[in-house]
Amino acid sequence: MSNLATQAELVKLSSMMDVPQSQLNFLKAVPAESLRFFRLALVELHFEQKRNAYRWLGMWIYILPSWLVALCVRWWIGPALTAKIACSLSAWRMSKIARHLPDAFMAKVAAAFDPRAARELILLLPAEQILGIARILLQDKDYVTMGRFVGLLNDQVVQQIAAAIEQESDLLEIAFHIEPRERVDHLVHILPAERINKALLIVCDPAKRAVWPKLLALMSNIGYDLKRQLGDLAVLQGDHVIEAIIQAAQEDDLWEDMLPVVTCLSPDVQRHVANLPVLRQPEIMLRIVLAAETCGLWTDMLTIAGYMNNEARNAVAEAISRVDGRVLNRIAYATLLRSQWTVTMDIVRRLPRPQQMECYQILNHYTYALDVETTIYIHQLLVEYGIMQSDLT
Amino acid sequence: MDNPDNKAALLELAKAIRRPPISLNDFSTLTEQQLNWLSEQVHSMCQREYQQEQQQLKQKTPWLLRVLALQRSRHHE
Repeated sequence: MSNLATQAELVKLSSMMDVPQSQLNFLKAVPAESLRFFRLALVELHFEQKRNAYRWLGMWIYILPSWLVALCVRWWIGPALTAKIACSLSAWRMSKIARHLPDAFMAKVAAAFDPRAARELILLLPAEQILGIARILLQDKDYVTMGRFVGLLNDQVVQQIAAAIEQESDLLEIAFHIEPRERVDHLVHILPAERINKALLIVCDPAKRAVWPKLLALMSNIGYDLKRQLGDLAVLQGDHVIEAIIQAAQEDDLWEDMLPVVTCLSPDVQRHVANLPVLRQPEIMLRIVLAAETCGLWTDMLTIAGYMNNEARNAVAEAISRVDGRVLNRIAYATLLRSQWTVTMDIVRRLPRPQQMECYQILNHYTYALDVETTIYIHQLLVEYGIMQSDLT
Repeated sequence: MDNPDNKAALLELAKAIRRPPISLNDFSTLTEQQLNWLSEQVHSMCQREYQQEQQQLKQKTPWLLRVLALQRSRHHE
């Protein structure tokens, strides 16, 4: 479950249902994918109402010339009803009428338009008109509508729109609302590198605090390769950028989203990030360990710990010793999955003695199910790291 | 279903969004009260939308066309 993805869904749901987001907080426990399913069902419900009536009402549009229909819808029908009727028309007819309509009117139509009916229409509209509509939507800060349609645009138009958007914070707001999320990767790829650099620097600007989670959401929604590229880019900007990202993740409790991002970074960058002094702060490390524990991210955490130096591993051990429950069982299981025995042993040797013994007991259970070679290897490591005495082997 | 007490509320919500109840399995952790609240919100969203549309149709469509359109829509739904 991703905290950021859930937050994004709650923002969209609250705007759709017209209720304050605080009233939907009880839905935080529901996985983001299920919230998305629920929201898409509402979208369908919203656009399906009285569809037949609109289809019938739209029939007269085929009889009249486009310019006359444009005049009628502009001065008589209005944008909301036009959007409903247009959804039942063919794309070529809509595009002919749309050419006679001003951008401001079209922007209002777009806000009420069913995106499922827009795919072909968008391909038929001239780029200048789409650009004009995008400018109006941007002025109105209607990021939800922009995000709904940007995924349907071709690359050239997206690049032109991006060039017309001055503020990187606006780009991030739109990216946050892009549907479907699978398109985000591609759209980020076609943006100029300097825009991405500037977007990353937003995290250092306290005046843009509200946009920080959207930047982190972007980083957690993109694919493996792009995560690596953006992570490397972020490190190139200097430690102050990485530290700002860490602080933002800490303040908004977004470690469950950030840990998988860190494991996608290139090895050198991971080593650099894993050993930043800011990560060793007890409260930050505790939140990271809690995220690993509650969200089943110990395999990721152990990968990162593999790059950590002595001080950082001390901080991890200190945080683990403060977590109750079955944390050691989960660490042992993640270690088994990833075969990262040396990393785990090096952390366990830093734990208080009772927890070392608990760890020994857990591993002892494992040895019954493991092959002889692995069992001997684990026992050797237990002795080597001083977790058990050699005479016990 | 985690909580058998909320089964009826879950069915009601599934009916409101026109989806099979099994697709809302992840919502079964919510209380009956929370599920009922969600169903109410879905109904009021639809109601709001319906009233808005009716108002727009009333304002923008000549009465004869409107009556014919609504009849046509009822006939199909």
